[in-house]
Amino acid sequence: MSDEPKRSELLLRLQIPQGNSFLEFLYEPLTSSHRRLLCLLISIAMSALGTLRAEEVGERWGTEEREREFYPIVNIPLPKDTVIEAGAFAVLPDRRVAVERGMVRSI
Amino acid sequence: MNWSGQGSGDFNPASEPITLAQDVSLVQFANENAPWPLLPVITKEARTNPNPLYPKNVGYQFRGYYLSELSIPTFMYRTGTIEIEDRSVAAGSEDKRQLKRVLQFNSPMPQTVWFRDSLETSARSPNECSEVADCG
Repeated sequence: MSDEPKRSELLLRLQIPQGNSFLEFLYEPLTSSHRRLLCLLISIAMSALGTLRAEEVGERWGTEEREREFYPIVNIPLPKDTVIEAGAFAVLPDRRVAVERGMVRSI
Repeated sequence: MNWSGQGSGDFNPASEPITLAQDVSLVQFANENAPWPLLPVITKEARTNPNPLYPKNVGYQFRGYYLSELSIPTFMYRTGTIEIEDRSVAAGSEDKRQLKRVLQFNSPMPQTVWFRDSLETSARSPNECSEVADCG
């Protein structure tokens, strides 16, 4: 492995079969004395995915509760095939959510 | 800023940032010698996007996203007739951090598509090819 990183291009021709298939890439940052290297490995393993939860900024500053009072994060489950391209969201008095994109729809 | 942040303070990434290519990753070529369609470049001198429908013009259609229980998004899009789900998750361990990108394809028929990524990388090139990936 070279110590000198460079911009490289990965080009793959994929033969996509009919039905479902997977392709998995693993990006790995490696630190050298002063430059960053990345290496890329490819596998097709369908293993369980390890995950790390994203850092909560509020936790770091001790302001999470106060932030939640002003800007609550609400996850609205949607049908998988639904795409919302909304210009604006609004909460109606009956707690339904309205979205606007040319016309107002409630979800 | 991270996915669920409220916008205050700064942000310490868990590891060195990994920037993936900003161009489209998957393209179906009519001619294999055709150049890769790159993201239009906007500069101070040329402020107008010369191809504002760039992804659409190369066959992309965004199909939304959904969140896992850990709030990790899976992006759904289509290129041609291939439905794709694309998610990147942190993997590895504390002393060996990795980013795993998983592409799931659903195709109505066998077909060929080209995948391109551009990275600051070591000299080691991928040499493991799967039955899906043909490195030839």
